[in-house]
Amino acid sequence: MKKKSKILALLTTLTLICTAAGCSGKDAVTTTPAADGSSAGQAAQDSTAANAASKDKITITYWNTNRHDQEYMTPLIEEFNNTNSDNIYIDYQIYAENYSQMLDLAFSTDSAPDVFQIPNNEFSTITEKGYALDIAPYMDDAYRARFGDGAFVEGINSIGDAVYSLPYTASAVRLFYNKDIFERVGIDHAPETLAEMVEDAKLITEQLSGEGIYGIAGNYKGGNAVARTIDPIVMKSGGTRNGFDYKTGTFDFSSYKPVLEAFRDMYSTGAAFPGSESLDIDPLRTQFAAGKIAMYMSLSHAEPGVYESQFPTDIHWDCALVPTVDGTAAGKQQLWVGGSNLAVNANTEHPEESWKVMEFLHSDEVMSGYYTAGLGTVMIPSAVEKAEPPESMKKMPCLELTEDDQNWPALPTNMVVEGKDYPTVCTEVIFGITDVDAAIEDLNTRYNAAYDKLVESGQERIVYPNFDPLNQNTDK
Amino acid sequence: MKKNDRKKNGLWKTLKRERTSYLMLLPNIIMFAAFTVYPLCWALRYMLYDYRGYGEARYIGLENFVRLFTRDSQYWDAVVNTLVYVGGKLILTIPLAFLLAVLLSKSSRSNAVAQSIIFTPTIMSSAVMALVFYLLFNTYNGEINRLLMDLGLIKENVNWLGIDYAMLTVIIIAVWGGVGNYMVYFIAGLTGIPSDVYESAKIDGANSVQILFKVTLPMMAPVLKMILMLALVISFMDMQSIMVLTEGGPMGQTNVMFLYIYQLFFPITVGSAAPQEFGYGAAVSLVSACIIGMFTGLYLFLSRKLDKITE
Repeated sequence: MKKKSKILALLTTLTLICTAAGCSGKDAVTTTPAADGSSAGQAAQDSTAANAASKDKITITYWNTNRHDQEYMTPLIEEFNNTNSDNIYIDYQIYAENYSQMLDLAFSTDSAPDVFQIPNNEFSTITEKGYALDIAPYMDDAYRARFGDGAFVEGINSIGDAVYSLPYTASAVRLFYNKDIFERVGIDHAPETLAEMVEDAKLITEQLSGEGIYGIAGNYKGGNAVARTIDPIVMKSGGTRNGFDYKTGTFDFSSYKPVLEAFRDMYSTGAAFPGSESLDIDPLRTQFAAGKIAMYMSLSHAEPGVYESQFPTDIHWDCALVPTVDGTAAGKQQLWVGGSNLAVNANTEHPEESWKVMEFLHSDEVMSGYYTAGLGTVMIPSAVEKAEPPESMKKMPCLELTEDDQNWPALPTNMVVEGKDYPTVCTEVIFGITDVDAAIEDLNTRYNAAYDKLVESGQERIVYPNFDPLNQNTDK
Repeated sequence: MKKNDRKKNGLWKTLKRERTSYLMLLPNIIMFAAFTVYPLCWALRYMLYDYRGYGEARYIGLENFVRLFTRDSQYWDAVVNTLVYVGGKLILTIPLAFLLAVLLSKSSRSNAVAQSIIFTPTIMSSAVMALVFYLLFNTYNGEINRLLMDLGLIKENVNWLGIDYAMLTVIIIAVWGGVGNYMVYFIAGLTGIPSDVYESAKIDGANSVQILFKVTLPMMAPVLKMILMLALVISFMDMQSIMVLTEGGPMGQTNVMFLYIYQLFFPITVGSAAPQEFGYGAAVSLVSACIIGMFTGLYLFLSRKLDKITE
């Protein structure tokens, strides 16, 4: 009995030691996220393999969130690891949800990647936090020239003379639709006005909901969906960007009203896919691929790759420019991404090697193939010139960026708005919880109060008196 | 002076006498201090500051508390949601766990298998659990709707994760995840009841129902008190599965206190440029801790008689 107890105690101790060992060490950080949606265990295996392979080499950790280009990038990075003469090993990791938090956590625990993707819309935050290295000293004039004229823009990838990121790819919101469903109900073109969009959605749902097919869907589980649906329509219709009116330097959400009303008309009357308020983008895509959704709005760079590799489908689908309130473009549409993407960790132990990895990732060799494979609209002219246009763009020309897709000037940063943010309020209006006029009044009051407070604390108010959404004159 | 010396000697003697016990407690105390007390103090020192996790922390006095008590309706909605969630979870979990414990407490192979199966959700990652339930409960092709439809209980799909039912769904998942754990506690309590008490009851002619309500339940009172307190505190702090399943939505319907606090420290919306609010988050954390403490204290006060039942 005593012997048994001793063995049991020994086993328990061993288990505890193993658990403690498993919890410690640098690998814990790399195994936490379910990289590219695979299991944490798989990530751990990859990381272990990376450590073994990187023995005696300088490991440069590279984080990004691009699942759609993983198939293309993985062999190129492997080839780089095997052939580069600088003794560099890229430890390539793809993150899924909560990437910003992972990055914050990594920087606060001194385990941040050497090269990392800047989270969407967070260029100013990343630079304010001091995460990014100024890479201007590594670039000569010839290298800068390959990005074309006007590539380095204040607030987009540069601050003053310092450059923190490089143009990489650009993407914009588009309307994706199922041509088979449109044909079945006798619609011959994608909607160009909001009224057409509502009419089409209602017609499809009315005729085909018995088969589980609905006119429109949105991934409204998170506020992110508002940026994919409401915002681009407002901007292109001549409204404000995220509610900010550059002409007066104040927030004015009144241009959101017709768009919110149209969406409420679809989502509160049963014309939209049931459960849209709790949908994520990937479950939505699986239902689109299954032919259950006629229309949704998403990103030009991501969807072709998604339906090629992630959710292969037999349906005939196409894309169109986002509709506007009256069918005309009265404003520019903010790019989803464009002008910046990757940055080098300001505290990296290997700045030279990290820059070499940046050079490789932005090289013509990598980016020409990237463009041809249809993985994104590449913003590096020297790479595009050498590349064949992608098949997806030949089939769907509207995936290409137009002159109406561009970066708007930078928005006020670090505003602390008390209460619900505008995407949450917009979602409440769409699903009929909040009245549209009350919502707009509330948003205007709270956002202006927050901005006034920021200005009082010393930040200069952004005002461009001659600004209009189409010509975007930023003269002061 | 002498009294103090005596006290000191007494404390020293106790420490010396119980040194093995204290040594065994030491690793836990160190971990608790390092991973709970220290982070708590670190966060709480910012409650009087405007601090975003980087840059300079600006002293703003009680402004964070003024904002919380006068202008932050979102937080108070989250408190109400938390109370609904905790109430719903406890009302369903505790009786169910007790019932299962009574049914499965007798030592047999089949009961052991059943106990293991029911306990399994407790050791599952709540994030994984939430993902699986998302597939089961989703409106358009979830198995729950399909099953209810096949049984003829519903005519059209129920929007389980929509505005009307999201909280109920979250509670169902929490019950599924927690019932096994409390069942084990109850089984431990049941095995502690001496068999001669049951024998006496039987000799006195009590039937099974009478034994359950007149013997088992009163004898379980001290254990029940502890289980309820644990369940109460744990339920107040639940947030992981809710974060994965609904992110607090739709439109804040399942946003609970701790998820709200988490979002102040780490805004979870992808692509959101919302700044982190460490200072305000610290103030909200303190108030939330007081709310939980208040409910726990109230519970302990109301349940104080449960300890005396067996005396």
